[in-house]
Amino acid sequence: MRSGSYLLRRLGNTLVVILGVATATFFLARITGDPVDQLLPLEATQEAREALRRQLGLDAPLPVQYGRFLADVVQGEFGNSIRYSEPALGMYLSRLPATVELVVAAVVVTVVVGVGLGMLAALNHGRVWDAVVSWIALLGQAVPGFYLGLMLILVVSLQWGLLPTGGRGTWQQLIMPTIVLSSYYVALMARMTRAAVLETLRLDFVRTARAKGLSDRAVNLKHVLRAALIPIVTLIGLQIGGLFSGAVVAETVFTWPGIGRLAVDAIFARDFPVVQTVVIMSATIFVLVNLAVDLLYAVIDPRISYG
Amino acid sequence: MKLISRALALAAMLTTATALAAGQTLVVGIYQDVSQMNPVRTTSAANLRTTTQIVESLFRLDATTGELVAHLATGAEQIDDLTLQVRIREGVNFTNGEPVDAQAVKFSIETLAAEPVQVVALGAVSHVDIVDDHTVNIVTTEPYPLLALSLALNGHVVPPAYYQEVGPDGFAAHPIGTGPFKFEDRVPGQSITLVRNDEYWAGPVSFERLEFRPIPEDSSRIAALLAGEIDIATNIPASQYARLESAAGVDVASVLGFSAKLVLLDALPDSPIADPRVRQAINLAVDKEALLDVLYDGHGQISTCQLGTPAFFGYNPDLEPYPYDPDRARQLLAEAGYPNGLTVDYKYRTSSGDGELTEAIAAMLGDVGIQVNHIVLEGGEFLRQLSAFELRNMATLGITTAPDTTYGHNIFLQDAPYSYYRNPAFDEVVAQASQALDPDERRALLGEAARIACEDPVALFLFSLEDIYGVSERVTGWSPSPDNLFYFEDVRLD
Repeated sequence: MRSGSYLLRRLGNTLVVILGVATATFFLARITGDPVDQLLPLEATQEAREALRRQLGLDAPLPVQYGRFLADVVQGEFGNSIRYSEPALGMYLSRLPATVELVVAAVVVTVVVGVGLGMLAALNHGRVWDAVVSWIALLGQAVPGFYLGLMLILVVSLQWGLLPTGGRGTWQQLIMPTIVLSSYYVALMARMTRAAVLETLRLDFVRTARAKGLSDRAVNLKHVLRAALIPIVTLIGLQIGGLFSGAVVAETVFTWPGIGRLAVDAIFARDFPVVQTVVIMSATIFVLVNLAVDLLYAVIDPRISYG
Repeated sequence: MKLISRALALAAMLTTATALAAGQTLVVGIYQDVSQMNPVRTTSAANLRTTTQIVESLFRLDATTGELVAHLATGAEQIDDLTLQVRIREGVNFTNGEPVDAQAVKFSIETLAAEPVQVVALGAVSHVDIVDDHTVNIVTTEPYPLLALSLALNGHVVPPAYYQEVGPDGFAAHPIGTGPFKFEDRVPGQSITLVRNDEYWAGPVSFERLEFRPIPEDSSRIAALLAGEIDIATNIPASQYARLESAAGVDVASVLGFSAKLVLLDALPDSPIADPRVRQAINLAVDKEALLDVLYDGHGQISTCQLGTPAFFGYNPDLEPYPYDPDRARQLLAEAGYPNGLTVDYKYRTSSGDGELTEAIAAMLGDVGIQVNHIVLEGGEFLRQLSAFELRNMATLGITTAPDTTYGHNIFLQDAPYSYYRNPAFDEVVAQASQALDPDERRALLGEAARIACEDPVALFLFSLEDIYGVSERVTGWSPSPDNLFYFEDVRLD
């Protein structure tokens, strides 16, 4: 019951955050320029510009536009894209699966490879594998995604002819974007896991577990990894937002039709409804994921409870 | 290890299978997604290169000769100062069965004329009268010599019953016309697929499907071409020309387009470069040839002190580029009251790739004593400043217009929304030209306007750049068109 009221309070906070984000996006977008400038050629007359502004509903005073916008958003109505004259929410939702697919693939790779490498390094502390993992982590964090993506295309697609250069539809097309998106996070995850596991190995309960005569394998998997999971889950939760925005690079290099590209194009074109939709929806996802992570702590660590 | 190599082999097989299954589809990799599939609501070539495969106009511009060719029309005649009589081709149907007749043309032209984005091209149209089933009179509110050209570029003929039934957005979702292709499918952000119109009135094209695939990143588009995933890649940077030329299985094709690179000069009364001598000095201080060779590998043509190439109507063949003459530039600056030079603001936009060009020009200006404050602006902010008259004193710009110099001149008229130029004589000549129905008179007036805008420079004139395309060797019979549109009538695929 008490955790129920906690959840309600958190959801209430979430609504306030989203309203703030929506308001900021609305006004920030509008002080940065006018989509009409981009839609009409340089030689367009003033009358043509005003007529187009009327057609797009941009002629009303800003407070009126803001009022309409809020009333619409509350009803789940995000308006039509100025450039594409399609419903902005529909555009967002049609692109969302592509980005989610890419982010999920990257999270899986990050967790499996990153945690695996981190464990490998920690359990071989000070030996060769530790050094190898350090180097991999250094490279993964240092090489820019854009460069890595182009190099992969050059070598894997053009030299070896193994994978398509881009696009979406087959599992082969998912491989290289996932590598590019996850490389940084695999490295980060490997380092975090290594540190967390080393930290845990020094704790009393691990010594107790060993003293009980448990095998190394049982101690490492059942006790050490579980205790080390807290910082790891926190990291994943925090990085989900980073993964969504980091997807822009992978999406651009590999022509992956996700929301990152949609957002960047919309910002450059001052396509306000699309910018608003992307920001509001992404903020919602981000806030909800954080909430889920907080709730997950209680599941992983019995010492944590909410009330 | 064995497992890995098997997986790799399988992946390779699957990749090949995809390529084979493509069969007789021509795939074009475009640099920018098509934002508007309803041609009535767009004037951008990036959109029209797709829509013109489906919806056609009354006339076509023969982009090489600059001549207008009858297309869905069979002929036209100016019957009085305000009326163009157009005869419509008989026996042509839209792919949904509606006939192309006077009713359809009247509906299309009047719908276009009411659209804000078409105001520049067709805003002068007052109404269309039906003379008989296949003849209309297009009536304008004032003498409008650019009507036929505007009809060629923007006079898209749509099926009236269908257009009214589905509305402008419904038409964008599934456009219907008379063209060589029919709309088949669109996957947002990924592809637009068209299928051959077997009943095309001018004879069907040789291949079955045409796919447009947006690949905005240059390197990725080039890689897709080299990997054989696309057949034509648009917007190849000049720096990649040589690389593609030497690559196996790929050719490079280029054409001098309708875009001009220039530096806008702020001649408003309170500008430090308002004096024509200062703007002449700027033109003399810059070595255009060196810039073109070094930055664009020579893939372009130096502007002859005017916007537009010889393919433009109204091009003045007597004008010459300002020579590269720093001494003369210094002398003019001294005469204009700047013996010790001056400092100006110089802006450019990040998205345009103009950084190197702007820096090189700034260095050349520095040599004659014009110190430059570089200001880099994001694309949207650049346009905002342009329309708010904040884009001072110099700004690197690319301008693309239809091949008639009227459009370029119009940008610099005193009452134009973005004009940083004040010259009553220029305004007067351009105003006369815009109403002159006699082609010789109009050509002379436009030439005179160009001469004035060269002597009292509206801009630092730089060059027209080539549009460069990468083309797979499996494509024969295709060459790029300066209007940036695609014509596939003679194309064969191996």
